[in-house]
Amino acid sequence: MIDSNDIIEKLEKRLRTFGQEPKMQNVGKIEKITDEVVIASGLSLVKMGEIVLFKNGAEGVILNLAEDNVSIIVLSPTEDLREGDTVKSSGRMLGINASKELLGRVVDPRGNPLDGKSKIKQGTLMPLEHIAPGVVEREPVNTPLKTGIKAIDGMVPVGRGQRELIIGDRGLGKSAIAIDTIINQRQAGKNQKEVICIYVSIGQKQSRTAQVISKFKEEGAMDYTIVVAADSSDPASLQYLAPFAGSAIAEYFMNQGLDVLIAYDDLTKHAWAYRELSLILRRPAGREAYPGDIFYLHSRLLERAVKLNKKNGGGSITALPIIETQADDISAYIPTNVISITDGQIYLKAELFNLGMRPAIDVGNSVSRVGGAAQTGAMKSVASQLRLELAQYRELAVFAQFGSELDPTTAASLERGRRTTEILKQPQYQPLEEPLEVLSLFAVENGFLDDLPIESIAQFEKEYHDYVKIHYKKIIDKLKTGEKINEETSKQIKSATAEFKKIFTSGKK
Amino acid sequence: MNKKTLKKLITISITKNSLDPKKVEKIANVLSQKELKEYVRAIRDWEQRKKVVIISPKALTRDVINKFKKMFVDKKVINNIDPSLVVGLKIINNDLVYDLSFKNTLKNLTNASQGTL
Repeated sequence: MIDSNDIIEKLEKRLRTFGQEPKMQNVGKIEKITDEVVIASGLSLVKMGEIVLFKNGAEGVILNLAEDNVSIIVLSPTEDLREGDTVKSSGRMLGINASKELLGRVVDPRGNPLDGKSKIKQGTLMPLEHIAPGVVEREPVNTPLKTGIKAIDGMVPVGRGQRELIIGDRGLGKSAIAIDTIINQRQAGKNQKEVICIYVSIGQKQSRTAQVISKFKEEGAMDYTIVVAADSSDPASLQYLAPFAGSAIAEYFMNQGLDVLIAYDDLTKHAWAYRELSLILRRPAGREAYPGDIFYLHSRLLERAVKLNKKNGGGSITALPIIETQADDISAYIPTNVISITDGQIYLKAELFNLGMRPAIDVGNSVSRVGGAAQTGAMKSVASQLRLELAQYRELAVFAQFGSELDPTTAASLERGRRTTEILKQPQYQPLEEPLEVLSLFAVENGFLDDLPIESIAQFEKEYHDYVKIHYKKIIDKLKTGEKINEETSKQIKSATAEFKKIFTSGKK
Repeated sequence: MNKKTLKKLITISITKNSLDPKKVEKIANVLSQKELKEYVRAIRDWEQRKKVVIISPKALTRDVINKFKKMFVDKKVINNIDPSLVVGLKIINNDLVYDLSFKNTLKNLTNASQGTL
């Protein structure tokens, strides 16, 4: 309940500082309106990125400063604006109000609620454009961010503070990886520092964004997630600002020492929106009609994902940018730009998707430049050889197609590879806790699945997890610590696995 | 039409620091529609830069106007009346607006209280 004394105190404070506010305003006149861009004369004292106010209450932001005029992108529909209307400078730079109240909310890049709930109360005004922390303020990535996806946590691990690109053609499950990672953070608070999640929807269909939000609510992920949405029906200006708004909110939480995960879905549409604005602003078009600073657009955004050292709070922002390719072409302009910026990529291939391998991660072309530093000891124990084994399997699989006779060792490697591939398959919206991931990979690495039919592996895995959770809780607790699997733990897991396998196979007969 | 040409046209159009109607007419007759539009805009800008508008609730005395003339040398001082300002002044100098009126103070106070609440 609002105390009337508080209100009076605030008003009195305002009155005391009242005379100190500048009474000078810089004004201009609209000369031209082109789509979402307004060209105005005057406004000689405005700064780049400053907010300006139109007669109808709409806001715009300065994007071009020329000798005689300024170009303003309007952040709301331009139907009410006319040539000759006055436009005033506000003295404010573009920012978004950030506070803990944003958790569980869906907002637009200006911070206006889109979920039908009350307006977000005054928080800290975070600038949308902000220079990334310098080298001295950072420390190397050393804490895992668990996605709950076996293939990623095992072979392409992501750490807190890393930028890991998710790249692939449309419909291969790029957003699914980001969504599963967000859902998996509900586990984070239990054993490690909790992770605040931000999902930035750029240029997507509203129905799709609604579906994603609904899934977050269903899985209980909305409690720690913020959705920033600029859908396909929104002006290009809002789509351009959306990732920066998400980043600004992430910085608010990071400055409090928290870890944040931000997914940009997707930066291809962000590049399109920026190209649209730049062409309207008559900036010179370069390759594929993108403006010359398209690289800088994404590099300055992604550089804000950082792991701060303890002296600066120890918080982090982990970025999962998504890029959509056309016909598996990762050598196109925007994909190569973003690949060179990020600390690794998760490459999804259509061929694998069509073969039923989901998530369709091409392990050969996927990489995490942080690597083992983002893995726990337990995961390293079981996953260290995985990538190599799969690479060998892929090589051997080519020869097996010719139907030639294979020696027993090669045949065994092939069978092991098939089972490893099978165990790495995972249904959508079912991220796993790390202990269960470790158990699955342990089982396949130690040959427990070698004599099982491939079609029964999925069922085996499910029942195996349930069995260990019920009968060998101590193993789960040990694996939760993340410590390297010692001999004793290894024996226990082997014993439990063998025991379950006996039950499983006898039940199957 | 480039900026240099426009500037030249404006210079030609001025006699004794004010626009010469005959010269403006002559120039207007030889310009195309697009060029004429640019020329009109340039003249308007020039006029805007050459004057200072002082808006007050009542007519200003000659002394006050002379003080403003000393402050804004080389500019024409124009006094407009707007009783809704109540008290104070509003000074418009090209694209700079100094709103020192009571009306503006009240408006800011209202905005500030809404923001607080």
